[in-house]
Amino acid sequence: MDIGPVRRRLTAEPISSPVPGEDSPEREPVMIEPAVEHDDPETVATSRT
Amino acid sequence: MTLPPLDPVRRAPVASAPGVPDLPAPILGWRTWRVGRRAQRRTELVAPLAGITWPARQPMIATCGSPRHAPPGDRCACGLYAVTDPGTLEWGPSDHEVLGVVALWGQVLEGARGWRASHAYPRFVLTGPAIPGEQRAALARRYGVPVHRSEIPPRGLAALLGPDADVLRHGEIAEVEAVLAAHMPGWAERWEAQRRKAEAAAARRPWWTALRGRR
Repeated sequence: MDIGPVRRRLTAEPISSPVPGEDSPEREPVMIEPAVEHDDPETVATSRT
Repeated sequence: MTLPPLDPVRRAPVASAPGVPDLPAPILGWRTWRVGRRAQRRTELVAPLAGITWPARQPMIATCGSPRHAPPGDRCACGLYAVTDPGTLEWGPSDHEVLGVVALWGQVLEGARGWRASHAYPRFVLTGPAIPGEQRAALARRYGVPVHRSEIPPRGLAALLGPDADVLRHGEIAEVEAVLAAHMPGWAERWEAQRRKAEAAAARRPWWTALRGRR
């Protein structure tokens, strides 16, 4: 079987398992980091100008 | 070495966040298996070249003899194969080879005509007239996927599917059944016409040309 020249590598993680009767593959939730608040006076002063 | 993912349009590397998959669904492609003739192996789907039995109700996970990489390797032929066009599949001499759509996931290398993946499981199987109904039913029970009957040998069917191959590849179970039921008589008719034409051409050839392949 020939798939021809390779174009790219990718990852596929199905939300529901393609295997009958098997639970979905475990996936770590993607955490979005909260924005860091700066109370550095210099930063505040700069933003006001 | 890992190839960076490429934007298919611009052919430039695409930045992707680590840990976030590129696709939330499996890739679906065509491939072949062989089913056993002996009683012990009649309900097994076997990789035609490697001779390895695909496990039932658990993922087939690719292995490689090289300790340097995990399948699919960029510079290796390892991984579980599938193609977009079933007409490009290679077939052996066995009438127990079957056609099917397979789900691929995990690490996947995308080629111009298909994929090599780390994980796979059959989605549905199409068997030819050589596989009896009770064997089809046993295969379906064991693997938990539909096993359909084709009125013509799977290699012939693979060449005749044309645009319907994509409909079948991405179709839900009911849609696959409907397409097969609607189109099978036409495919069988075309297959029979091709077979008769090939026989007539063979009959017109001088008798001594048949001896050439025997040396």
